[in-house]
Amino acid sequence: MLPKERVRKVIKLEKPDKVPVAPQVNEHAAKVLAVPLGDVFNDADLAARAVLKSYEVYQGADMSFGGGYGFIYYAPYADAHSTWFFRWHLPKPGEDQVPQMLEDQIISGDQYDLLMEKGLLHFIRPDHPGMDQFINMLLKNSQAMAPAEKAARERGLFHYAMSLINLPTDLIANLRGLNGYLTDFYDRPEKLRQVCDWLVDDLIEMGLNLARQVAAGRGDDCVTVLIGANRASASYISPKMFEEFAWPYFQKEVGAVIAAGFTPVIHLDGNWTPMAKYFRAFPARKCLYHIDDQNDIFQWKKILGDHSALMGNVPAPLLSFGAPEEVDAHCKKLIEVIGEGGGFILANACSLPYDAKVENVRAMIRAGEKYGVY
Amino acid sequence: MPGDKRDQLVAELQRLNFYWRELSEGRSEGELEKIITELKQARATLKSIFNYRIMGGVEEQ
Repeated sequence: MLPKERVRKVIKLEKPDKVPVAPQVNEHAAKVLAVPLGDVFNDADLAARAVLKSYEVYQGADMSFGGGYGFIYYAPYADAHSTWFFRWHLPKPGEDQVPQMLEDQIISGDQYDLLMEKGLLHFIRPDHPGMDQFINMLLKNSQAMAPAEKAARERGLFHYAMSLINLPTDLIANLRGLNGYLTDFYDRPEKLRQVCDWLVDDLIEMGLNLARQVAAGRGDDCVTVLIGANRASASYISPKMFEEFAWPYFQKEVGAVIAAGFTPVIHLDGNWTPMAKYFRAFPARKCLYHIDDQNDIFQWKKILGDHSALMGNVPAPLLSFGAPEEVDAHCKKLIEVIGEGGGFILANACSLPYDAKVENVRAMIRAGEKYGVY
Repeated sequence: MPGDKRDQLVAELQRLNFYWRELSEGRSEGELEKIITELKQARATLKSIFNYRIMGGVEEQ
């Protein structure tokens, strides 16, 4: 069975031949190639080499790898990673550190009206990268990654995210800073709702248009749209606040992705366990939930296991600082409990940590082979 | 009046960009004109790629 067929079966809650394993190799590819992340981040050819090396080192993975080339940060897209709108410190060549967002308060609570009146173009940062730089990086990425794309195709790997849609609250939190965002729930709830309403339809359309373009280019019959959310989790707000300020927009985004014939990959950073019950309202066997290590995945299995596929959530600290035996034991438990009856993809939480030990990632893949056969 | 043109350029910048104070501080009129031109080009290009309401109005291009 091809890896992508295996993953698709999991999403449909059908039992595949084995539990798929999906280390999300992005920045970590630099570690595999043993070069500073800044080198890979700024050099598409080197990033492509890092991906190809990662495919060699991590044979048995079921999803394709990213590689750590930084072009996504240069995209003028309404996304939290865009340096056009948000203040990022990105690694330079030779620097061995991950990208970090400097979370300023960009707008005050009184400036929501300005945002809605002027739009995001009004908030282009003075140090924005420029269109030439972005297009240049996009072209380089497309050319350099061709061998890595070919390798993924030959291996029949599943593509985790071909497009993305942010939840409105995540973009708002970035514009307001965490303190401003949290106090707005109390100080100006109506305005917060108004901005979410203003954002959501276009965020959906942008994500769907990108997905349509990717679908046309790839000819893939399973197009994934990542719906990324963090700041509406229980790590920041209560389920009651979630119900009012995030859930309606989640429903709209996921509903639109499914209606368009795409597969929502619901990427949940932070602790969403108190919100898991809400997701039963979505159509069964249509979504993949990739959950962070702050979640109790065992609770998720009880709440949503008969409804939708789960992916995760080997903790980042374990992969970076643990021993292969500890990783093996953790993965064994996940496979036995969460993988029971199908509907599970063994993976790291969020993205694979840049400094994950190679032997630990291998231990995760081996655990899938040792314990995951149905 | 030499100050009038600068004031107009700063006002134009304020209409175009949230960071107008930072962008205009200590800049000559020539530099301000260049920044405004570049900003307008960037905005027009972005709007042509992402023609969505949340990006902003076309009347400002």
